[in-house]
Amino acid sequence: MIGKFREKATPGLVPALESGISHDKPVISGEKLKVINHLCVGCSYCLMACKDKALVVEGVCEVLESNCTNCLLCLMSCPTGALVYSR
Amino acid sequence: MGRPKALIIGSGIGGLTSAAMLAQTKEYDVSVYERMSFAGGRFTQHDHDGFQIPTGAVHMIPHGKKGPFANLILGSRKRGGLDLSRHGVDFIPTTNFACQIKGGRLYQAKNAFGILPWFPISDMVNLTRLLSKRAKMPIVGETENGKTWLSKRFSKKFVNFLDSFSNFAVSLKFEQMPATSVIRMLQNSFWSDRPHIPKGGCKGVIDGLRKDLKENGARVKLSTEITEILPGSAEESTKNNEFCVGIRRRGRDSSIWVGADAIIHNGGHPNLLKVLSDDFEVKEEITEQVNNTQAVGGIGFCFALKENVPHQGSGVTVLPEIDRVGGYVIPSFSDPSLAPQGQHLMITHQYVPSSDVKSEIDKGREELYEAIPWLSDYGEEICVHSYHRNWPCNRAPQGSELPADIGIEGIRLVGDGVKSHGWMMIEGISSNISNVVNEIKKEI
Repeated sequence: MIGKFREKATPGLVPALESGISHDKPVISGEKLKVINHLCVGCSYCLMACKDKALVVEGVCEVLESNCTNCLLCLMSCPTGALVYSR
Repeated sequence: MGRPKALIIGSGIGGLTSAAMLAQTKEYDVSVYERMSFAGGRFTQHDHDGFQIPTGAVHMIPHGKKGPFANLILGSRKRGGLDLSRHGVDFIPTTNFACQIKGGRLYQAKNAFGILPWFPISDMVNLTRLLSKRAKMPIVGETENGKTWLSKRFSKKFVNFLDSFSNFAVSLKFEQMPATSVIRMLQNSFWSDRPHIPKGGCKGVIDGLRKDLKENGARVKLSTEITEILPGSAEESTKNNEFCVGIRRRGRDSSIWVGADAIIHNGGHPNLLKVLSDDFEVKEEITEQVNNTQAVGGIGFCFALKENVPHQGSGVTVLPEIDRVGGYVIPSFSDPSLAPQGQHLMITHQYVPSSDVKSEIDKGREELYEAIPWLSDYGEEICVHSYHRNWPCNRAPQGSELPADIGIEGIRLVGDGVKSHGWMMIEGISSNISNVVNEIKKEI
C-alpha cells in the first residue's frame, strides 16, 4: 500500500495518503521522519501505528531509518507533536 | 437562527461523553474536534498483533456497575445516563475484587471481605470505623497527608497494600495526597462494585459513544486542531456566535474560523489558556493555580502471557513489596477478545518519582521480574508506555484537582484535570460531567 503511494507521489502537494490521512507536506527527497526529543513522552502510540517496525520506544521514540517508508501514520497519531517530517 | 453551537475540543472520554449528553437533547449543534488521528485519547486502544494495547487507561472501570461511570454510560436517559447498552456497550466483572502477591505467593479475594484475613484484626476494626464515617463528617487531622494519617491508624502491612494500590490507580503515593482524598477514595472503593472490564476494551465504550453521536447528528473531526479562541465578534461569519474558533487540519498552515456558543475543553487547563485570546479575562488566582499544578506521570508495561499462566484471573493485583510498580491486571480473563486466542494481555502500572524516565523504566522492569515469580517463564514484553509532561496520566494530581469553570461564561473543562473529590480514574472524570453539561446548558 505504501509502495504504491510512493510511486505516485511527485514532489509538490500531496492531497491524500492512501492511509486516508491528508496533509500538505511536499514529498521532497532528503526529508525524513525525525523525533523532537524534548517533546516526546514515550507513549508508544507511534509504535502502535507503525506498520513497518521502524520505531523503537523506551522512554523516548527512535526511528530506524532503514525500515521507515515515510508513510507518516505515526506522525498523525502523536499526541505531543514530537514527530516531524523535515530535512 | 439555528440551534446553539456546542464545540467540544478533544475526543477523550470526557469530551465524547459530554458531547453525547448535549447531542441526545437534540437542542444543540454539536461538533467534536480531535488533534490526533483516532478518537478516545487515553481511553482507547491500538491493535498490535491481536493484543488490544491501551492508550493509557488499563481497560478497567474501578467501581464497576455501581460507580459514576456506569451510571453515566449505562444508566437510563431518565436518570441522567446515556443508555449506551443500545449500542452494545457493556461492562464485564473482573474475576476478583483484589489480589496481591507477597513473598512470591498469590492471594486472591473474591469480594471486599476476602482481603480481611490478609491483615491484623485491629486493621479491620479501624477500617469498619473509617468506612462507616459519613462523607461530610469532619475528619481528625484533615490537613495531614494520607500516609501520615493512615499510619497512625493502620498496620504497616495494610498501609503498604493501600499505598501500592494508589500507586497503580492514581500514580501517586499516599504521602502526596491529602488525607481527605485518601479516605473518600477508600470509602468509594469499598462501598462500590468490584472492578469491571469494558466489553471490547476501552474502545468498546468509545465506539458506542461515536455511534450515539452519529445517531444524534453530531460530528467528530479527527486530525484537526484548535489554533485560537476569540470572541464571536472577531469575524464577520461568527458575529452571531459567542466565540470564534480557529481550526486547522493537522499538518496544514492555514486555519478556518468556525462559530461556537459554548465550548467544552477536554485538553487540560494549560492547553486551553494557550489558545484563549487576550480578549478573555481569566482570574489571576486560576492562572496561578494552573501554573502551580504539575501533571502526574506514569509508566505502563504490556506483556503477552501464555494461556497456562499460574495467575488465572483478571482482578487488580497489588504488588505491595516493591516500590515503583503498583500492580497489574490481566483483562483478557474477563474479555478474551483483548488478546489473540491462546494468549493473555497483562498491563502493569507504576508511578514515576524522578524525571529520568528511561532509568525508571529499567527499574520498574527489574522490580516486576523480582516480584512476580512466573513472569520470566510465562510472559513476554510487548511494549512500554510512559506518560508525563504534556501527555500525562492525570493532568492534575488526585486530591488537587483544578476547577472546571475558569470564569468565562460558556467555557468549561472536562477530563482528568477536573475530577470530583475522592473519585479515582475514569470514575472521577465522569462524576463531574453531568454538572458541567448542566451548567453549559444553562449558559447557552
